[in-house]
Amino acid sequence: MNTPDELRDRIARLDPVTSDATIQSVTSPGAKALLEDIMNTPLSSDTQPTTTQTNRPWWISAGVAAAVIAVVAIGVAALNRNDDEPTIAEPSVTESDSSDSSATSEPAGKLKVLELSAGSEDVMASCLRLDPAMVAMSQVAFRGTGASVEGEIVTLTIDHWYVGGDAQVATLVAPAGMQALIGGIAFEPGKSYIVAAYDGVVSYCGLTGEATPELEAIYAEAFPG
Amino acid sequence: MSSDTERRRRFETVAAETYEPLQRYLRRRAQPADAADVFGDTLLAVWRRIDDVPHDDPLPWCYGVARRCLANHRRGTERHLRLAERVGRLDPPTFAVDPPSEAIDPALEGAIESLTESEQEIVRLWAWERLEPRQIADALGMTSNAISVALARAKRKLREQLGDRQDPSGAGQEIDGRTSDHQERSGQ
Repeated sequence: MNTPDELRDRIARLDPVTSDATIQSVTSPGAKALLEDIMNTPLSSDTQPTTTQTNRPWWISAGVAAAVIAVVAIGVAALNRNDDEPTIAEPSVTESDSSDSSATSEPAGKLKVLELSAGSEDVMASCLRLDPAMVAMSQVAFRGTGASVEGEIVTLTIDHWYVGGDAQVATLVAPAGMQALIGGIAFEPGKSYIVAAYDGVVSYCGLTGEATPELEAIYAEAFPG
Repeated sequence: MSSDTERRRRFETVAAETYEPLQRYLRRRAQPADAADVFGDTLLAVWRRIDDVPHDDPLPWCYGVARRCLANHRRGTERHLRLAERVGRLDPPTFAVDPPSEAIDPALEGAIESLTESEQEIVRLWAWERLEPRQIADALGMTSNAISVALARAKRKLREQLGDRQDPSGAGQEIDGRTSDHQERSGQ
């Protein structure tokens, strides 16, 4: 197995679809009926695919967007962890005593840390145009500055909360192998980013990204005052 | 927005190219009943977003839609099972491809299972859907470079697991070709 093709072919032999006998041809009557039925379906974006079982926005529930990232609580010490496979937990925020930590430059006292941990799913492809109404559906949104990028962990100091929290620090744990590249965004120290989440899931599709004037204007309109 | 006639014509063109590969994609990753449900959702999502479908090589983009629809389906099922667990203990839901009745290549299967989930999906898209890194990037919404790096690392891990260390250069960058599932199969 000395060439890439040999490895590829060997993996291909594990393909569970060993025959096309059960694959319906696009020219079959059943396929034509299904396609006709779909083309007669209303185009309203209010109607979600049938497997959707929540009222999440389209960029999450309709599967049109985004890497799934869970908002989890961690202690400050967890800023230094280096898990290969971050796990998803329920959204929460904890307070930690920053005097116990050497991983943060925050002033001594109680420090709230929010960790945004990448799950097993990857980022989604094309997205619809971003608008304030979409942004306003976010449950968590903040602007932060990249403080450090260490392996798969990006640390942000939160400069401004639009909605949903008051932590001072957030960490983003990239999927294994995608160091410092979360949702197609290459986080860098010193740069400012806006991060949004809904139902414990950080949204991409333009909702999370570098804090350009255009993106900040959309957030300012979505969260006035 | 294009006219209804144009939308229909465009959708029929995309469907002709993706209808069968999408079935295989889902059958590889879900139980038959789930695959059938998600297939319908996928086509519906493609129809509603037909103006966004790339004209050049739409299949990887449609794989991305299928992947998201499948993830939604799994989340819904997992929520249902979590509720059921409050009443009685259930086995955790599994959505992996049905294993073959007899292990074909247990060493390789074990090596693949040792990869991260992201790496496993990249490897599957590479070997089963016969996508190249740029196409995998289209399907996953990532950059070609990130996929090439991740794929190279995954292959290196597989070789190490399999005890094959003779070709470190083989873990290098992929040639960004255009071979894909439908193209290969249509030539059969």
